[in-house]
Amino acid sequence: MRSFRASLRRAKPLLGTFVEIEASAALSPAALLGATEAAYGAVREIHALMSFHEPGSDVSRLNRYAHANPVTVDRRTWTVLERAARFSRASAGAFDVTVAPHLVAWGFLPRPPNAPPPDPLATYEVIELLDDDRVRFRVPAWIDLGGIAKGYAVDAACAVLRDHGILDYIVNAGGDLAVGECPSPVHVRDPANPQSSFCLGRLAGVAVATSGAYFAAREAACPGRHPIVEPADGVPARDLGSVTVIAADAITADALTKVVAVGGAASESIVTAFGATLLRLPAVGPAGRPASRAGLSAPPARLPTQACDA
Amino acid sequence: MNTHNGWLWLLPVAALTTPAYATTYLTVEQAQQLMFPGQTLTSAPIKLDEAQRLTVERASGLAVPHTDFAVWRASSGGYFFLDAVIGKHELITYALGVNPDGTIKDVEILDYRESYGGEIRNAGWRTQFVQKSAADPLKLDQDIRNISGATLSSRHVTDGVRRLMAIHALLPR
Repeated sequence: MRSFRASLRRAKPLLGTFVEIEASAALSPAALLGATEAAYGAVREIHALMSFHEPGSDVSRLNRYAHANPVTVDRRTWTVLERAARFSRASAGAFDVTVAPHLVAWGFLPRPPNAPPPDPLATYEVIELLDDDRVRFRVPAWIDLGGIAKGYAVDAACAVLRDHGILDYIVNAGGDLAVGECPSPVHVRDPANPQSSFCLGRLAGVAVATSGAYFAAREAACPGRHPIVEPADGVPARDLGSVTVIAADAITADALTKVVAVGGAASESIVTAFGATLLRLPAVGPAGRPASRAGLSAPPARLPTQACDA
Repeated sequence: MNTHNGWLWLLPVAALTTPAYATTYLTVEQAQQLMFPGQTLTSAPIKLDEAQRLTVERASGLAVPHTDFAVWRASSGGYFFLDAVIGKHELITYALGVNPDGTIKDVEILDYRESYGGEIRNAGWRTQFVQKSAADPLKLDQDIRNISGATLSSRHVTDGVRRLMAIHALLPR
């Protein structure tokens, strides 16, 4: 009997970035390709459900109607909101999906058509997660899941690959990445030097996400509420540092990078509470040199690595 | 991963300079077979005349810097476009499949190249690699890849697709 071993590496423009899937398995090339198609299908569906821009997405429907009546959403949207609420409670609001009005005000998101003006005092606490996948807002609010949906989409793609019997994979959505059971080298881009990267080592069974503190300068305008968003052009900020979180899944890594970037030193204990590891890269090291090992900090964490079949 | 008492330490070879980051994904043939399985694709390159170029610019709202486009016609009536877009630091080759009814079938990235000046600023970087490879064999292209924090925008590709769809509108159905 003939045994197959196929490897594949693809990339597609999704979630406003490039979603790269690399996979290797004892499958025929056609079966492996089919599995990655299914994984991209999952990402595409999450994109359609959670896009702030698509008028028919769950997020757009919530922003239009959830203050008036409970809105039934897809189970996946409800799940992301439920996970988001946990990060919001743990960080006392440093992570908050109701920051969309700020992003609209700053021009990072378009004004949602036909949505009522948001209550300026609305926070994550106005979101009520009801049974039967229904969601209600106590007051008008605009939510954006940009700080968490990318990580969730990476996790969903990984789950599809595993369902197809693939254990050796990497899914990378523009820097939010998850590694399967085979140790793979993972790098973090140096915020001081975009052409350089730091090697985290060979990781397995973990997710890694990085956010730049691109909006630190805006903190004064909105104390404690400034979110982290990728600038539209996607160019790494050169004079601000970055935050990397290594966690068990990409949704946790994705959300916690935002918690740390806005929450300061206290947020490091939150990262630890979620069983994650934190890595800060300063924008400029001593004497203006790029970030060095001396400038890095990391709380205790478990970083699983394990052997893999050849 | 070096862990000691649960703390994360970066490997000594911390700053790894990758002046030109390049990745190749599916081949053109693989993308064609993926988007139009079992079909025959016939090369049908397009050269826009000046009037067509202006039409495409008006319809897409984007500049059309060149007039030659690589296009294939599928036996079903669909189209396959091969195009490249240039960003601030990147050159991206991608494929667009269009259904016979004129809707977008799929977009696939085929090649991604990133360059910050294209020069190897730190001449020692390659040596560091070689030293590391003694204990942990590295394949250059394969190991400089899983980069977290590579905040890439797909806007240029989205624009490119819009431009190709405006060109597609000029083609026979």
